[in-house]
Amino acid sequence: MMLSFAASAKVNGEDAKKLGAELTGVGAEKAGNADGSIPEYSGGLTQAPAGYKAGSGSRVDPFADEKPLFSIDGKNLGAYESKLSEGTKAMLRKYPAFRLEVFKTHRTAALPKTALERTAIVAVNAYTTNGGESLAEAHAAVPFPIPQSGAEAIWNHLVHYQPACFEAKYSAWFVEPNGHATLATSAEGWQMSPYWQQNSNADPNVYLRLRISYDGPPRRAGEALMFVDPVDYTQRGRRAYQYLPGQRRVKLAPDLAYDTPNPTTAGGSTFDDVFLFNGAMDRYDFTLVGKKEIYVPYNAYRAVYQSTPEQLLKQNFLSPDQVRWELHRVWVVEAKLKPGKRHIYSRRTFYLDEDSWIALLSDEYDGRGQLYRAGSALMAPYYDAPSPSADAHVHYDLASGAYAINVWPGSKGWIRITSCKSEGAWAPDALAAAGVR
Amino acid sequence: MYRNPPAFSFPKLIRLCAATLVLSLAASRPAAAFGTDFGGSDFKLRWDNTLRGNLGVRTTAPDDKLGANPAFTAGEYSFKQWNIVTSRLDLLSELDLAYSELVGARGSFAGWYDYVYQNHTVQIAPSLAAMNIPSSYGPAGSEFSSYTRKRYRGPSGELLDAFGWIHFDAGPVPITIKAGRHSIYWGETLLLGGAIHGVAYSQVPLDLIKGFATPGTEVKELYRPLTQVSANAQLTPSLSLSAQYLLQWQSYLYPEGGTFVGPADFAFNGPLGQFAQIGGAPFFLKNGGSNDPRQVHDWGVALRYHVDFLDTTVGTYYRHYADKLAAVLLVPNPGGQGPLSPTLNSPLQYQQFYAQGVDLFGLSLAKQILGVSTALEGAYRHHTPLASQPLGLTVPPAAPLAPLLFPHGLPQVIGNSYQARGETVHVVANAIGQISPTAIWSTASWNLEATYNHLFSVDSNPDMFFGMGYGVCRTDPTLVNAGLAKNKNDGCATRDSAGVAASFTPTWYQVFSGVNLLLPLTGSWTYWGTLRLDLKYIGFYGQTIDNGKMVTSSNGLLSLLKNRESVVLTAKVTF
Repeated sequence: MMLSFAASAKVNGEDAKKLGAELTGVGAEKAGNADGSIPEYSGGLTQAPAGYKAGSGSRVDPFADEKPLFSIDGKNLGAYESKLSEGTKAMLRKYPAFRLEVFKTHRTAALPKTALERTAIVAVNAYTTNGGESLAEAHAAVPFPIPQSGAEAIWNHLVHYQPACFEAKYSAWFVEPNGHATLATSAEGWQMSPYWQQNSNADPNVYLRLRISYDGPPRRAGEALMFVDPVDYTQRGRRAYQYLPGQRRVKLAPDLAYDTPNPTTAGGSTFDDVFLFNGAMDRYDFTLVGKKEIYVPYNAYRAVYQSTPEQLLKQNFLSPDQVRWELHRVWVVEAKLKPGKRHIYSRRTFYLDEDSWIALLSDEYDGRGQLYRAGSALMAPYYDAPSPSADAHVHYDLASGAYAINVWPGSKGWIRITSCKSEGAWAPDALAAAGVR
Repeated sequence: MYRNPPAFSFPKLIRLCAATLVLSLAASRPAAAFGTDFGGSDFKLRWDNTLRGNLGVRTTAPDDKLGANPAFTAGEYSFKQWNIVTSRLDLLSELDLAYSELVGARGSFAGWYDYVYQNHTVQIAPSLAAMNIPSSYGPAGSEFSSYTRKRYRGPSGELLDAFGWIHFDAGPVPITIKAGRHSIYWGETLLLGGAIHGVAYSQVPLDLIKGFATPGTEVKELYRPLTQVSANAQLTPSLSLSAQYLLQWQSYLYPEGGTFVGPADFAFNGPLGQFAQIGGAPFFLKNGGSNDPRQVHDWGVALRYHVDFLDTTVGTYYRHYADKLAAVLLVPNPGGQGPLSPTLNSPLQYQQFYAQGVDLFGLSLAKQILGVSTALEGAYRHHTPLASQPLGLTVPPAAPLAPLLFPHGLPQVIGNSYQARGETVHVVANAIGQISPTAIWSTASWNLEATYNHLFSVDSNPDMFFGMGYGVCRTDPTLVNAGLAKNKNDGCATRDSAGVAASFTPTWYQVFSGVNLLLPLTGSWTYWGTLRLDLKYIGFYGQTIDNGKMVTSSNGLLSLLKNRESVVLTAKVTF
């Protein structure tokens, strides 16, 4: 399928019937692949394994006893070339010590029944407008389980299912080319997805609200930020508010988006690199290339919840012993910078997991067309929700050898699903009220 | 709008004199200097310390003309060219304690030491020393007073924040209450011009010693906390209510005379007095200290509403306050004895006056336009004190001069001050933006702030208003013949004044191990009238008159650091 974005492309009733039949509720192929390396989808992992302390938010590895099936490194990558992203291949070629420990594939991503039911209904009505930049007629559902365009696939990623409200304690690190790891941010974040709330009196043009309170490094302690992302960027852009310690007030921030370096990762990635892609789509033309079987980080519970910084953050890349890779089917979306628009990445390729629609890998090219950064998101679904999740993500700088990891709980952090706070708690001025520094 | 032909043929451009390199060092430790949540409970304790070092070198030589003026000589001759003017170490220690998000407390402490003042004595122009004219601390070679030594040399310190807070929900309304020493600052302003003209004027005193002498100071250190009770309630998701009731009043903390960035030798709390000639006879005006308001009646309330369909946040504010910037005025000194008597007597003394009972009505708007965060703020001040002449007279030095200087009769103390009172309006507009990466920098942030103020009427003590057409700023021929008339070049205020300031901070991430480099550059200038306030972070300026022998200012505060150019390097680490 080689389709460019279209203004509106509703799934017709015929195709919609496939959802739940040969396609899963979110539009993935239910069947396994020919050689069995990808199994049939059987509903995902919906039960927490023994050993998980309910409410702790620190998820144990349900497959802790498994051993890798094989490894891929620079020497044998030729045999697997068609199943690797460009970024992964570049890392394998550049670093002899970089390797993928490939494990048995488990399709653990699961959504609640209500979300799947709504998806079937919404699929025939949802569409994009304004050249793909705005989402219409979609709420509390995967908007395009059978996408007709790159923009639709990216909307699936942007509004992917997650619990309506959750809190996370995480850190972000910048690792220099010489291997020295610096804590760039330590924070607690609240996230709320009004898009996924069944009944919400929030502004319908909001799909995500994020409130981050920084407690480290020490010079950032006391700062707080609030982001509100819209569903329709042409109506109103992202709004960000900054809490200014010492003044105890909140200022509306300028546009913190696109290729502005993200201070959270000490400039190791851009604002729109968070979750591999976020924000407005107006600078790129998105093309849906098609589906491929690709090795992606999956069920990476150890890296996300058990590793310490010393164990995980090695020189030039995350410790290969800590990261679990599996073969999955992904949708490949190409993004090319629109003529006349500016961005440090002239071209980006995203690999979206078929079972969750979350981007798990990205290849990012600089202005000269050279591969510049490779992003990977560590998929580790919330089996206690259930919900897919790949919030922890890393960007490798292929030019310098540095890299940055963000939204990483690690052994000291957690991601807890919580009840939703009142609307009042999400007012920007509430940041000032809660500010102590 | 009266447009004053400026002394120069272009608007007064305040030069960037001190480029500051701020090295912000990232901590490599994964936690606060000391932080614990007591083993996963809801109690949290953290203790952070920030150490900042400043090293500054004077890049210009003392100016002969300016230095020959007894009011500027000690400051001008404080350090030679290429001498180190500051080698200051500042420590900020912060302790936060919290239980869940329900209750907690915070304390902070600031300490400092500057070696450069260790053995420093007060220097003045050789020509003045030869005539036995004293500095504001006494004869040449005197030590600084203990007040100035404490503030500049140290080692010394003080408690800043010390307050407790609680947070609870009254039904759907989240409420937070803070009590103790803390600072609250309302409105949308950014830079110093905004701090003077915005709704938050005099809401907190500012530490101008630090702000002036140590670039790289975090805002949270410049705001001096006051004992108060403050509350915030989010009435609806779009409407928030804030209120504060002050239990303490404190003035701005001023750069002291005789130090490198001390604006005028006589000001404010450190110096003993000021040499002056009245009617040709030499005297030493005694520093009579400060008239602090005896009772505090300051309070304020603010209502902020987010208008969804306009995507704008509207704020309305009311405050009742006592001014925190001094008017330094001359009053009689009964007995005429001063610190240098009997060699030099002190028939007059100068005191700081702070006007109480000002009402401020404010309005603010904030909106993001084309990716830029913009804001507009207006404040109407009722019964506000107006600019007075630095060392202005409140009594005639000789009886016959009374009707000349005070045609409306001798000035009276109104609300703790002799200053004129009137009605003014102040407008501030600003913008904050972020620039995408370029080949030159990783990212750059910029902000721009323009201010405008207008005087509607002068209602009390009109002769004390140091403004065109009032008091000594009149073209009355008798006044001119007596040599007492002043004009715009002397700093007489105009009815309207405008200014603009901008700052631009390119940032380079990870220039070397764990270090980000920021280069904040600030510049500002004023057009249409004299400046209301001239204290500037980095750029120092002023206009010289009288053939370069005096630097002028306004609002009873001296601006004048015209020749105090320096280059300062700041390094800061938090652990």
